[in-house]
Amino acid sequence: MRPLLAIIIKGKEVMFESLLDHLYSALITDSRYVLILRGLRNTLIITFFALLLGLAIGLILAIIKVTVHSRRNPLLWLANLYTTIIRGTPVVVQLIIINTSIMAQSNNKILIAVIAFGINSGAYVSEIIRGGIQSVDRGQTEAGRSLGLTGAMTMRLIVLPQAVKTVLPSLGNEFITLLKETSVAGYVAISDLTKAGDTIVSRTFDPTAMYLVALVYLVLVVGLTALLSLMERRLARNDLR
Amino acid sequence: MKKKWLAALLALTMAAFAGCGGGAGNSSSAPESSAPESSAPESSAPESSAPEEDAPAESAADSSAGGAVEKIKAAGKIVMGTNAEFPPFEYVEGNDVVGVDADIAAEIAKDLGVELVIENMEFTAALLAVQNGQLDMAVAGITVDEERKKSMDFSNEYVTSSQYIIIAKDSGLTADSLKDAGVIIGVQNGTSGDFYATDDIKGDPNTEEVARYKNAILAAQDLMNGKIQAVIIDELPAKSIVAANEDKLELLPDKLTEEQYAIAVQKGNQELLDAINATLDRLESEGKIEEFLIKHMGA
Repeated sequence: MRPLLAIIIKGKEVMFESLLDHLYSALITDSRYVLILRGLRNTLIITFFALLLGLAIGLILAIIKVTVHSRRNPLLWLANLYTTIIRGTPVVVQLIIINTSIMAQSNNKILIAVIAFGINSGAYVSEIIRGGIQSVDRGQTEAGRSLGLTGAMTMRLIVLPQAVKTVLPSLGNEFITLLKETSVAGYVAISDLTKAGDTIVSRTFDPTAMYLVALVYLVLVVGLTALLSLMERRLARNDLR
Repeated sequence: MKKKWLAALLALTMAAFAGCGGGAGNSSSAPESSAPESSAPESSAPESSAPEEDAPAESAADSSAGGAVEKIKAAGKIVMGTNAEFPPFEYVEGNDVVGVDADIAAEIAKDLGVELVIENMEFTAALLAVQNGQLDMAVAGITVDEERKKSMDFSNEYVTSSQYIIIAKDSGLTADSLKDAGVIIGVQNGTSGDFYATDDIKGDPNTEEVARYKNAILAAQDLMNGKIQAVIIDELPAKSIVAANEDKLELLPDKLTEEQYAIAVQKGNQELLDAINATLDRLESEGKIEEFLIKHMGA
């Protein structure tokens, strides 16, 4: 590591030059920025599709958990088992198991990552949505049913729209967590953003590339947060009427 | 709404400060770690970098001369970093990191009269940590190469090794065919096998056909599942891996490289290096290193 402090004392121009040197070797030498861009692309693809898969799994599980009342119903049992197993084990362990045995025959690493992170996220999302649905007053369901709507229609038209508003902040939190959790994908040689930084550092022996990777994650999370708060504000408009 | 923007701005500013903090933290250890400065990764123009490197180099001389070995003796322990996923040089048995390197390090500690502390970490992390002085030495089957020499100092070489190719049994691949498009080579991230596959075989620093794993064992699993076509790793780990999976894997006879392992210490730490070399010489003359290799090859 360069002695930044010693250089700062010597003057600003020198510090600037050394910063440029660091950036140059982290990004420009051997076109290393290509690794970062490719890593960013893979991270975004994995996060986006894992998010969709997680939402789908989570929604189905949540509806099962809320609507099935009989404790002996195998569907409820399965849904709870799923949540217990997936939430009870680390995502990186699940990723390794999926890579080396469940999807052993697949060559598509990105697909493996999407499925591993999607399955993982689904368990958390299901609990978030379940909480949201249960926070909607029972009176709403009763009112829907007494107006002649079916159970499914009441859920879709009355309960879920109200639940969405309650769960949005926690769901946003889960998405941010998911984005950062994909950083363990490099464990099984998936070239995500973190792996790109790691590969560059292994060549330069200088952690500058990791600072850049951290900055990219930070920008992504700040962007995602802004997007979510925009959605929250949109949904809150109805409350003001 | 304004408050939110303010909060975002604040967060960003804090992040910026955190960044500076990291830099300052590193620089506080500047005297010891200034030597890697001269590594000037193939970028800085000579005329601009020459003057700024003078001062740190001097301070490095007087600080690391200040009794690196004494410090270790005073602390009563020597801290070694390694990546225990590299049999037979380092692997985990029960709760302990064992292997040829661990045995050598234990002898070094014994000669210094201190306790050996082994930190098991990522290979690339161990290389960084020894540069920063977070570790006294890295003993991890580290191949001596010119790039690494710029950032750390190496002891005498204690083992000769080379890179070998593992392929799936009967896949008919040859060393030459690894160049072909679509042939994916698995390696351990940041090892000399990684560099050979990337630079010499694929010839493209940004190739997508080198898969970089956390360790060679994970790479071998993917090879057995047909996700990749070959694994390149050091001779003895390669033999250990193939021996454990003889029905599925085979070793190509080609020696890809000639390389030597040595122990890495922080740049400029000649005193510790001398102590390490004394122990290595003794082990060499007593035939101990050979003994360690035989002892751990069965594992």
